[in-house]
Amino acid sequence: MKFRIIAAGLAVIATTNSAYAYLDPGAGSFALQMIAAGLLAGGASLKLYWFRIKDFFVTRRRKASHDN
Amino acid sequence: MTTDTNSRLAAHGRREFSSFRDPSGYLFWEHGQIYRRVLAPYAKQYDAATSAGLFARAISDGRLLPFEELPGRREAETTAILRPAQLTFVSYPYEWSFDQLKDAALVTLDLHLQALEHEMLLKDASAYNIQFVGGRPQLIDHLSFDFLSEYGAWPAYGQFCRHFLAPLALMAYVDLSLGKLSQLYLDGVPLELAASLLPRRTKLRPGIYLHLHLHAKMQKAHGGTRKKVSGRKLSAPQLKAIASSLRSLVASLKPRNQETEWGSYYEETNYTGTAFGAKRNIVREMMSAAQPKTMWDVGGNNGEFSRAVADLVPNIVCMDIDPAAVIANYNICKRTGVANILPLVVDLTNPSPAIGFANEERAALQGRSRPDAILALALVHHLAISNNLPLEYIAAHFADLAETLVIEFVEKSDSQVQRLLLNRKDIFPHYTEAGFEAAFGTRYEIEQKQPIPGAARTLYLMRRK
Repeated sequence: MKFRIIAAGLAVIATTNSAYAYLDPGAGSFALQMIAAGLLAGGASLKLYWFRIKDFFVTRRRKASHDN
Repeated sequence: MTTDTNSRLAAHGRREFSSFRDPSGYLFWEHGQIYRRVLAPYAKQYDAATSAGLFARAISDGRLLPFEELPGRREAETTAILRPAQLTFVSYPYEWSFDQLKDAALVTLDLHLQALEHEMLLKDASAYNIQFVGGRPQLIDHLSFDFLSEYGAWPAYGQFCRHFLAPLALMAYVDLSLGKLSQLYLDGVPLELAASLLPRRTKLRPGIYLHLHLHAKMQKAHGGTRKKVSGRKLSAPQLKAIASSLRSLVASLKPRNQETEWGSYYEETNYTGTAFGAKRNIVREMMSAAQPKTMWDVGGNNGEFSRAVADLVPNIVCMDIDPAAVIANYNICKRTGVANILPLVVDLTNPSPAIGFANEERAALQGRSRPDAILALALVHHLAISNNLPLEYIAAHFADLAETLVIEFVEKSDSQVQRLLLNRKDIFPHYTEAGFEAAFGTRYEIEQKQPIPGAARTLYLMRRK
């Protein structure tokens, strides 16, 4: 689902070159929030995984130095 | 107060012109006081925000303008009549410096985040809903909280970006003067315009890319759509993630570090520390004699002299054309706890006009209120020589604004005036002390006249005739 939202967002970036004035900025703001929510949640998950990976190595290193 | 009184207030009060957008209620005037009528469609939201303690918490945190609900029974149409704390001066976002707009943006987001804790949200994020009270930004619209369940996403997201993020980013990356764009665009700076003005490198900042550049593209892409945009409903944690992302972006923005004309004015003045101290004492003496309740310090730079009389005058608006000087003023006041000075970016030769529908939504500067006193230090030579304004015009304008005037006349021999005349012909034969006194004498009685020792400058205390 998140992938589809991000893909939709990327498709918009790639295809919106026409210069007509927008009629309702609310629709775009709504749609962007759907993408933003996905991206930010994705970012938060990545951060969480990154901390877990970091913790894993830090713990291992600490353990190794303790053993030495 | 009885129900009858509530009905009479709501029925006879004069409705505030600009209060027409929200069906939840409106502002009205009665005997010079402003009230808010809460209409029945907003009853549930009003009760929910009250029982969740949202109002009480926001008021105690200093983020919401305090109000009292007038006692009285509920009626079919009227849920409540509120009497908010009365504002002494209304200012507009295009008159705020970068740091003021930034603090106003942060308060808006904090209130939205606070509401999300209670399954509610801020349905509006208009910069006009914020006013500076006691030196700090506060939300003045008590009908802004709504149920989260009513919306699929944050309905005020676009408005927040137009009213706050776009002008802040433009001031941070392009020019400090672009805060004035908000005067041109009443509902905030169009994102497409902001995106086109921002330098390309801002696309590398994820927050700016997402909330401004991509947002602008999405608005353009969906602008022509004829079908309703549907999607899932975002949850409170998802909306919190968006608001928190906006918050950290806004908090990270810094005003563009640019050399401005008046940014270091007091370091470059031509008079000595002794003369500066003497000037300060004379200004204080004159203000002590005048005892105004409200004062406009026009051309007040970083507010040095406003602060010198801040213990003598309860309400001060300090205006200057230089956005960097106004940023400095705001931050000094914030740091030192001076709460009765409102710094504003105002060009006295072109002050804020009346704008909006029928030119009645946002009042012109001098249409909003008139001060008891004007403090005009080191200003007249700029108006008279740089702007060719006849001294009589200046006197008439000040006399129109306020009864008391404390004004400094800077002689032609002063190096600051000489600098103004350096590359232009001196076409100002009447710019003399005698000419100044004659011009201002048509409108004012001169009560005190005191030369500043060690400077080619004189201070006057005048009363309107």
